[in-house]
Amino acid sequence: MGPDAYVALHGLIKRYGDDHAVRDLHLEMAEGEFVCLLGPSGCGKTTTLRMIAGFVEPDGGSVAIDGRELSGVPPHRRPTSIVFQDYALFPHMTVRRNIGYGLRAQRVPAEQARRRIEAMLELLALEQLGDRYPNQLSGGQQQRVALARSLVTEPKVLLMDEPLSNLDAKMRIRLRTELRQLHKRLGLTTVYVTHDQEEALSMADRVAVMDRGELQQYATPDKLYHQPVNRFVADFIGLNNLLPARCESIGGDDLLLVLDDGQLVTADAREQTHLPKPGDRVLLSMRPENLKRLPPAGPGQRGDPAERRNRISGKVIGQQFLGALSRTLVRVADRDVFVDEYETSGRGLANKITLSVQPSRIRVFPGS
Amino acid sequence: MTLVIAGTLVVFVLWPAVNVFLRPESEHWARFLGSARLWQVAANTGLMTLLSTVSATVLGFLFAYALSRPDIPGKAFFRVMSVLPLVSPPFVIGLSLILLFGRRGLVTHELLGLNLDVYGLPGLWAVQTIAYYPVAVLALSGVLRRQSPALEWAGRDLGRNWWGIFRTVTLPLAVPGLASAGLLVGMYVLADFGNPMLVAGSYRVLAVEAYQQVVGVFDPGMAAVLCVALLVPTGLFFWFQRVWLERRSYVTVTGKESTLDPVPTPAPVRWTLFGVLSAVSAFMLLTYASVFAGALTKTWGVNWSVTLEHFEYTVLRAGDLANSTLYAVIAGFCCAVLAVLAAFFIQRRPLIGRSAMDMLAVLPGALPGTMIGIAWLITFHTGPIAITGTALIVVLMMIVRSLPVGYRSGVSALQQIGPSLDESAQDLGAGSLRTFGTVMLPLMRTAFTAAFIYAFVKSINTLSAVIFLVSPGTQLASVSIMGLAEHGYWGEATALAAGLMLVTFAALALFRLLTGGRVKLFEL
Repeated sequence: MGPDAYVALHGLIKRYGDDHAVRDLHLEMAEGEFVCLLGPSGCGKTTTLRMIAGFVEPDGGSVAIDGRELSGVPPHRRPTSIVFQDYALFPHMTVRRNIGYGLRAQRVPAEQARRRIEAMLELLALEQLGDRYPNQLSGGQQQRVALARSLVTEPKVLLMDEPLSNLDAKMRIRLRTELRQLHKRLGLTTVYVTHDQEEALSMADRVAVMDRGELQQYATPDKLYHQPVNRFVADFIGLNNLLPARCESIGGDDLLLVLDDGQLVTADAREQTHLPKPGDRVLLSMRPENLKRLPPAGPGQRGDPAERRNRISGKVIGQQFLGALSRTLVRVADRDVFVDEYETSGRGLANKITLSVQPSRIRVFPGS
Repeated sequence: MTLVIAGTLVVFVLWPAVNVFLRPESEHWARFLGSARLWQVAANTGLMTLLSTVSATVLGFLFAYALSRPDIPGKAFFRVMSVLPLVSPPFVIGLSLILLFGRRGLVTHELLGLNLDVYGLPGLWAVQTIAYYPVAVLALSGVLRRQSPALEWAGRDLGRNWWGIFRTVTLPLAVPGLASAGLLVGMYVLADFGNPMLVAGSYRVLAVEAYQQVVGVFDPGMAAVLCVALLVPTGLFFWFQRVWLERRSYVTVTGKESTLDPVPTPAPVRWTLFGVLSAVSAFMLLTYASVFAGALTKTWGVNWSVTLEHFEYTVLRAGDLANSTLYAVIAGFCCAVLAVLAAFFIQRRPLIGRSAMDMLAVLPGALPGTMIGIAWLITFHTGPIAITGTALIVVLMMIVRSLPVGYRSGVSALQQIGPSLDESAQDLGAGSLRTFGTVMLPLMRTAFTAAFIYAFVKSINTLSAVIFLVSPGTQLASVSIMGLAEHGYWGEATALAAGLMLVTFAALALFRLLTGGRVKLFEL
């Protein structure tokens, strides 16, 4: 619905036996958008991709691209092209013939096909490798050939199934940037499946987080990180501290919460997607970098009043040096809480510690 | 221990093989090269091998392709049908062809009233196709199973229909496998002795000719020459496989297992395949049924009344089947022990000439049975080890003939275990034999069981090599069947063949029961 629905998944359902691989999935993408499907293995992201490609027929719902409903359209007639996790390059064909494979199927005239293949080789810096066979290429090169093979057919939507997961860490980061730049140049609508959140956050315009076949949140990386809508997303994206608490009262914008050891914490009610009622069990989520260490001198001379209101005391039980930052492990209300600081010099292992956090940086979810 | 294995291989594999080359004198060679009749025999062999190999490989491919697709109905049944000829004596196909389509055959004579003669090339061609297509199925299933479904899906995604993918992806990728399967089938067909003996009639082939030279003319020198002639194409096959296929084999570059299902086959393709497979399977069922029917018929083609006397005569009174079973059990056990030991000591112990030993262990699999039989006859008739006419030589032959497959399965089991494990056992102070017994053997139990049952099945059905070595006291069922069939005792011959199959099937059923169906003899 709406003008931004270039790719529209409506109520997609896929069952394997009694299990729902995908459950009532609604997802819309704008033309030229780079969307990541992110989730742990078995969350249904790959199944979703395969339903868009037409490899798997959905048990319910529909896939539409550019206003055209694709139910029952076989993969070779869909305006999509997929880059496989293991690339699936034809081992008995040279790079050129691999790239030209789709063009021969489309009956593109030889001369024009040749030009398009050469253009692809150039675009992906594969000029020197046109006559090699896939097993003579490195993983990164194979990945680029697979991409070229898909791009040359000029699909309306490019699908990628964990295309970087078979590469080593350095290569992954390099290709991430390359893919992103290529996407900017071509403006091709892209659906990208990954279980690597760093990949998703760094590449996507929007990320669809999935778990157990259901869409959890569909938002920009920034929103996903700072405003997770539920406990799963808060826990799955980045490092987060989850503390059980009870809702005490709601007064204006202030949400007053009591930790299990009796300490009081105030959250900003305007920031919440879920507002508890007094007496409800809840979970607080706070990013490690939003927890600040207060100087031991007591109620401070410095800092803003909001921060000073939230004072959480705990016991330091460990410290990790992580290069750019230092992570302190603090025991609060029988839970371990991480505190990340960039300034790492000259702090002894004080046993007692007081932390503060801005109310607007606390997210509240229904507790178990 | 290493020395014992090396000694065994040298004495029973290398020495006889070398003898085949040394035995003929120049006069034998001259006679062979100058004989137009023997050249004709060689040409016959070539033509028959070529035709049967092509048809068996194509049929095998159809089966293997269908078995690799999840959407072909009746796969379990077809799987059984394509294993059946592997576990029954190959010559039962020839036997039943005569019963069904021979001069007094059930179909040709009784039902159609024809006076058709199946003896000769067409009959032999048909028989060898049915008897050996399972070899191609076995070889090709692995090849097709290893093809990543993602490749076909990629073809689909890039705009090709089923036929387009089959033509540009599936088939080209299977070409090295097809060639390899073809070579394997070719070697089996070339070396086969039982079927040509039964149905070739006047169409002489090398294996039968060599047998006649030994048994009919008693001219071992000439027989050895024919063996060498038989070995030349075998050698070429081997060389071809090594040099050409190694270069063309496509290392599939995929990393992870794909969770994709194979691309569905369109309905017309699916039902065509189903039809072809059903027709072949029906024909095979008819074949086996005719053997059992023959065993229960008083006089095939003359008196169709039902009787049990053939069974009584061959299975209960004559000792052939008992001999076959007993020898096969002994050979199977010894072969499994030797195979697993050989795999361990050749692969894992420091050894000079490791690759030579490895080759000797698999060599008997590549040599035609007729050749090995004649080689042993020449080697062990006189000289330091004169053991012809004993039961020992028969059992030894069975062991050596089954060794290559057992050895290979031992080697592949070892490859899964990883050297660090037995290294750590040694590090803790265990000697070679102790390491083997306490660490490796338990882990290789599966390989051992598989080697045992394979050797048993092969040994009980073996014919071409042992036919030169049996004597009146050590008569085997497979050899007796040939003799009975040659003289037209169809009832007795089929009864014995039926008995042989029943024992084999019983052994396989027992094996399945013992291993709980976990160990598969054939990866299909």
